[in-house]
Amino acid sequence: MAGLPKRILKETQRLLTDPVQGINATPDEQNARYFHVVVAGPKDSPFEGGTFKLELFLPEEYPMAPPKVRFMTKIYHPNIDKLGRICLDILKDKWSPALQIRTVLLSIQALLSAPNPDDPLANDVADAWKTNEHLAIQTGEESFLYMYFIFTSLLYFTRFCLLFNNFS
Amino acid sequence: MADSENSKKGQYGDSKSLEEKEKKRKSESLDKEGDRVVQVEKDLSKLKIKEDIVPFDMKCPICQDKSRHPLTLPCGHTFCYLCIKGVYARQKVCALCRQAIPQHCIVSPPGTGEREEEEGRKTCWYYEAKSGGWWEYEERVRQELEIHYQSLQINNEDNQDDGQFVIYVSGFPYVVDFAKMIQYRQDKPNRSRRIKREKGVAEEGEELVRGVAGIPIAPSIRQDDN
Repeated sequence: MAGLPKRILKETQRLLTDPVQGINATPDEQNARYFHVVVAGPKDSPFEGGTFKLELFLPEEYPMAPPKVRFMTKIYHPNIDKLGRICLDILKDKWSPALQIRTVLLSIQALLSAPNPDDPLANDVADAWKTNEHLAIQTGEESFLYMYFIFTSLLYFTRFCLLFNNFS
Repeated sequence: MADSENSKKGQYGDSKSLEEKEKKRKSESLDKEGDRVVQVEKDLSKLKIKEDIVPFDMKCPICQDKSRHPLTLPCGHTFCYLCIKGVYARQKVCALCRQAIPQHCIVSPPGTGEREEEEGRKTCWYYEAKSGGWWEYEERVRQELEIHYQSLQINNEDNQDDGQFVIYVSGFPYVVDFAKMIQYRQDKPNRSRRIKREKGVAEEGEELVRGVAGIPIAPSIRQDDN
């Protein structure tokens, strides 16, 4: 099979020697195209204080094709589904080969600060987010789990109301 | 593979670490709000002096290496011809500003197909052009072909190899078959083209060499195909 392109070597080297703040990406020992990533929850977001594990894989066509990125840590976010799949345009049709591993991870970190509930992957989360956004902004100091609890309970409450309406 | 990488690192260790320090200093200067532009410009001028660092204006944003057969799009952004050809095949927009790439830029690139002179080069690799003649492989692809060819020569003595391997050109996988001396895109196996390896740099005249990787040498023979 083809060797590792020079660009991947360069990117890896720079990720290790000059890492992005709050982002840690290390190549797998067995597979240089597979990266173990840890992203810190951004400041002033509901995810502040949390650390999130991701996996990143560079397909053979990289950089002509985007890297495949997935959250390994479960996260409650309108653009990330239960399996950790991320809905982000630059990972799909808006990919540009001028983007790099570091810029992709920065975009994902930014997505945590600024969710896009109008283009949801997890519809239930998006709905909760839209109706209760003020809660998300207020809870800079509160824990992520607490947020999760509020959102889910609100969600189930709304569902319960809807169900009740249907029967009456 | 890993061993050769390590030895490379050892060889260039000092210049690499200097390079990294330089980059670190640059990124730190970016954090400071004050005279950041001045600082970056200073660092840039330092970077340009170093030989092993590709100047920013010659670096292809796609392969992050020195632009090979650079092509400047109407929007002003410059890439390697093969790099931007790969982008055109998929998205048809500039990789930096997403402005549309006009078809003529890719189909009939300006005549930059002169071969790059290289020291110690002993072989040439060509692939068949659609309407007769040969295209020379781009430098990086040619080097890869030669490495595979050489390792095949060594391995063939003790084991039977089928002589096939995959190379990536413009982000597309191509199967190269040394037994049949053909190449084809992996998803289009019935559109194979002949390839040939020649010792020494071929003289002009015998069989028409049209240029490099679809870029004609002279504008006069540009019309046909690539």
